[in-house]
Amino acid sequence: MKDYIIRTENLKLYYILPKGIYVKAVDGVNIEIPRRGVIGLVGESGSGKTTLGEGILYLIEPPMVKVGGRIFYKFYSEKEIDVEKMPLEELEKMRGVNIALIPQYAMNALNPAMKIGTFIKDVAKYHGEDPHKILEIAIERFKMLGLPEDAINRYPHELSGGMRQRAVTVISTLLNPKFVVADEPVSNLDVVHQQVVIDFLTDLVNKGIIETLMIITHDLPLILEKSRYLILMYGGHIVESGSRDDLWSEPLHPYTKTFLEAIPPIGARIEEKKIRGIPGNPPDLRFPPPGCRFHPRCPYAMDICRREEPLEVEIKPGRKVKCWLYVNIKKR
Amino acid sequence: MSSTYTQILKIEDLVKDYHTGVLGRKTVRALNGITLAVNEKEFMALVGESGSGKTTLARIILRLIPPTSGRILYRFRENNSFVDIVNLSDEQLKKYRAEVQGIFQDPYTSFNPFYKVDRALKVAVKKFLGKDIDEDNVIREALIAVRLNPDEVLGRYPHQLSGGQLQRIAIARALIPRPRLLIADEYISMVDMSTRIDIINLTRELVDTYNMSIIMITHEMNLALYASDRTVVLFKGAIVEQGDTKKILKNPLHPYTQLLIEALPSIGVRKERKILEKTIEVQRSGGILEALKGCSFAPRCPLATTQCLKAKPKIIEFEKEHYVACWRYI
Repeated sequence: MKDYIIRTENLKLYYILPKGIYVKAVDGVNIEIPRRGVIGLVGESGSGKTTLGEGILYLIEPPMVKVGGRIFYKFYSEKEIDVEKMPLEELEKMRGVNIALIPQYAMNALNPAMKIGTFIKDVAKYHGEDPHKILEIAIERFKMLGLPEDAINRYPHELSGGMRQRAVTVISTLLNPKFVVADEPVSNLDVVHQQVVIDFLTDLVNKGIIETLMIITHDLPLILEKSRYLILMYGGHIVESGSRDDLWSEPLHPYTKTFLEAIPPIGARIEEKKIRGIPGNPPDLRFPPPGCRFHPRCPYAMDICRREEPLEVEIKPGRKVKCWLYVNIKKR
Repeated sequence: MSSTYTQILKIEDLVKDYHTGVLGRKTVRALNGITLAVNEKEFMALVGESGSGKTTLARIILRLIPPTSGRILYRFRENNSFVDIVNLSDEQLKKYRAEVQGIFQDPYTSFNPFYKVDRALKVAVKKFLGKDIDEDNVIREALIAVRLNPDEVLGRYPHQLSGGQLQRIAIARALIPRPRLLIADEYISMVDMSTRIDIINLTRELVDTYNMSIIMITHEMNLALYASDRTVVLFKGAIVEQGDTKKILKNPLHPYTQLLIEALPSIGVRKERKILEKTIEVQRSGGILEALKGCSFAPRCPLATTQCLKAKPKIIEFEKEHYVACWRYI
């Protein structure tokens, strides 16, 4: 891929448990996040998607540890920078300005002892911005999300969970960061506000205020319409990535295929057409199965899938699949 | 509502208030006059978003909390008359606890993490079937009924099993006393997407083969429409629409029901989203007044008139097996 904003090489992020056990949440991930537009990082719970999202923003704190691999940023120039070679202060300064995270359970991310407005002014001061100007932008964006103007004069506990979630969405994007990771940004909201928040975020992207937005979600249908590129995770690996249209019209990985088939379309009725899930259970990432991590549930599993981890195959630029079915046997 | 089916549970004008704030001086009305009947062998889906009162309703039916007013009448399997569940004798309550079973949202908190899952099943056998029964056999049968391999799950601790496996065990546990009514409160929301649909399929099978009814409480409209016989849509403590699921799917009447269906992600197809778009506008303009007297959905409804804010609409029969509470149809 020519124009990417973040790239990783064989990234491994584990969680340390007592007795020397590791949870291999991200295990050898090569990802290229294309510049511009809405990108979807999709996976079920326990697939490693949140860990990867935090990892690429270098929010790596115990018990999460980086045991291998590299992360590169390419924000300004053609030249990429190894994140670990950047001075820490520089990385800290990038936060909120170049990179930002809208955390999962955003409703609990506010300081309970501070009024929303005070919190916003604090954020502005930290980054050397004019607090009043930033506060004005915040109020304007609050309105876009249907939040009352006086929300800035309230304490977090005076707002409902859904309102706090929306407030954090606004605060995380106040300094117009170039690259935003939104981790399950609408999971606690009702259907109307889900749409309001998704529209708000994609609107910031369309206006060029946010350059690239990566939405992490388990709910593929939710983001399908808005996203242009999709990355699918399963069991700590990226199993497939590609443009939304390619991936949707022709899913390659057996996981993607069976996953899409497990979602009932609107109007489907059980007595007319029974929708089937994927048999079996997702892998326990403390003790992942050898070979391909999907092989115990895969209808196409071959001998090699049980023994060796599949290679990543680039079908065409920006379109990758990690599955033995697509590896030319002769090449090996 | 219809007499062609045998009703087993009747809910009459149920109200539940919670008291919050300092000294409980603030009152929140979680349920605002619910009237509903559950038929024998019926798969009922109760759809609502957070704050709709759906969990409160489940808890009242399971007799975990008392209602503020209104009645819940239940007809026991071996009895022909309805009994108010608040006034059950000790004997009747024991029977009620066996015939009406619950499954809850978070399987990791419904099982004791310090004990193997076997214990939850054994306790159910001892409590409901007595000591003179072949315990192992009953447990194995129940696990097989929920499509689990007993040898794979018995002897394990909850953390060694997936959310989907645990919810299946929770269903197996609930099946042990041969219940007449199962109350499943958001029982699939923590199950992996790829296995969720199989639990719905299983539930459908159990309703059809075990001679049992289920109230599936969910916020996921697409799953309700996929498998249920009847759909009941709740908004802020009131039923806005209910009826034959196929009829609701074909012709949703209440603007809120239309909104829920419009909001379902349409994969590949561009859908009309009139109500949703308009409701978003209503939200953005910030014109949110609380309708204390009127329809609970009126403050959000893009089609609301002054009448909607003034008085609550009665639920009316729009067509056979299809009811709606909206001024547009009165």
